[in-house]
Amino acid sequence: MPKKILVIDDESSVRKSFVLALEDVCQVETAESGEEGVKKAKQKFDIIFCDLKMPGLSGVETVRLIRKKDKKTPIFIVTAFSKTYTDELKDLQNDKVEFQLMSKPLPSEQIVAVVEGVLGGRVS
Amino acid sequence: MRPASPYAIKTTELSRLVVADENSVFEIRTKISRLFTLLGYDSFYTTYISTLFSDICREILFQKTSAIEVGIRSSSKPYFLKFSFFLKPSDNLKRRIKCFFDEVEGSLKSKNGALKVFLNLSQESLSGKTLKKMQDVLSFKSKEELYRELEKTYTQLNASKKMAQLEKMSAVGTLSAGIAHELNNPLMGIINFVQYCIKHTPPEDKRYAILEDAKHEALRCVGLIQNLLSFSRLEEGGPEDFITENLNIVPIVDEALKLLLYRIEKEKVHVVRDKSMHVMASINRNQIKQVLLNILSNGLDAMKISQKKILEIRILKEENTLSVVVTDTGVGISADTLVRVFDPFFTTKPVGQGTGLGLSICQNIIKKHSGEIKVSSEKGKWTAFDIRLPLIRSENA
Repeated sequence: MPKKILVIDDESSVRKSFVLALEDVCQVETAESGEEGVKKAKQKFDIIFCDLKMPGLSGVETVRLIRKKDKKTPIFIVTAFSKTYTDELKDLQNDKVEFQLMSKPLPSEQIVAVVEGVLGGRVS
Repeated sequence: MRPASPYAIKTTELSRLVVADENSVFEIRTKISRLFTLLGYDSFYTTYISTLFSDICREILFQKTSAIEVGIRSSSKPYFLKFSFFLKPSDNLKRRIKCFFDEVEGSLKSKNGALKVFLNLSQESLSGKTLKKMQDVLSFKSKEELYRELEKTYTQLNASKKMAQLEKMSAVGTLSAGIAHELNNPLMGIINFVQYCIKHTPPEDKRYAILEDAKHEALRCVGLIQNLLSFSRLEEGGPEDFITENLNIVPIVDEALKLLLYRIEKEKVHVVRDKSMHVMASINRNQIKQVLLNILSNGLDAMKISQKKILEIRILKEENTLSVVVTDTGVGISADTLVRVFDPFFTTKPVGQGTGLGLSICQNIIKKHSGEIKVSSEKGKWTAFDIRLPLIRSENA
């Protein structure tokens, strides 16, 4: 089965960055909002990338909702480390919600490296 | 109509002479002397009265009771010159006051009492013109006094200017950090789009190199943004974000130099180090390294066109401080630039080569370490940065 990742970000340039960087690596599904992301996350994904600052559901809230059902899929919160969200991220950590942080902007080699790292070698 | 009572007393205040310090005693003495000269007293009396007043002033100064008020008391006639002040005069002063003045109101015995002393003016009447002249004499300001006032105003003005500047900088900082933050997303797009094009362009295609340039420039923007953000983070971040370890400064200097080795060799810079000793300070390793890198590479930048290229790093241990002095033999900094080098966004580098944040970040970092950073320079010859950090008591040294 081909590997699938989900990118949740309200910025099209970020979603498109993932799509382009991973075109030869895996299948990329995108969601434009936290709400859409939560809906789509009901399917099975191998990795989820989620933005932090989004209108509507924020990244933290989105990750909480996804984690209610899905404890296993690796989730990366992709952020430019906004001071505004530090406390919420700390809360998320304290509540033992599993996630990892990545800092924006991500160049393509870093996107590929993370995905290949998690998926265990090159997957076509 | 009833005639005006001969006791209807009217007082016209002329001046308030503030006794603030020895200088003002001297000034009041001069004013009193001029006043009595104006009123037609001879030089003997004038000297006597001005000496009396300077003694009164000294006593006021000693008893910290502030001022002498001068006025004219007029009933129908005669006119009295009135001086009032709070004072408990000494016996000698009492005698002199009694001897000189025609009337004394208030008790000479009381403690710090209000004293009003009156002098019968010999003139039949005081015309408006004389009054005006008396006021002028009393309010006359000496050059020294004017100069002191000017200096005081100037200092205040400078302080408020500095405040305004700081407020502006802080606003600009917050604003630009916000913008920098927002730029991260589109920038991520640009980098990835360009990288995608590079991936799908054969290296022999002439567009390949141009795309590489585009990527390089976009990555440079990332660097600028990170600079801006780290600046504003340092501004906002509380002490809890700030972790220090007890470290020897020497290897950190070595690490910073090592990172610049390529430039040092390429630009044929002679690096002078003193015999390193072991100096421990409470340091956030990365931040101090950033400061050193910044100052060392500024030094290299400054020596680009110099004949003599010497970068000297001295580590000094003083009583309570560790001091790292970095001296370059570069272009130097003029005095008016020197005062601004730590201002955020101030840069002398060409547009695009500096954010003007390097040294203000350095200063913030050093401040967080409870240290200080100083700069001195001679235009055309050298610049020295002195980074001072509080020393750890030498149980490990």
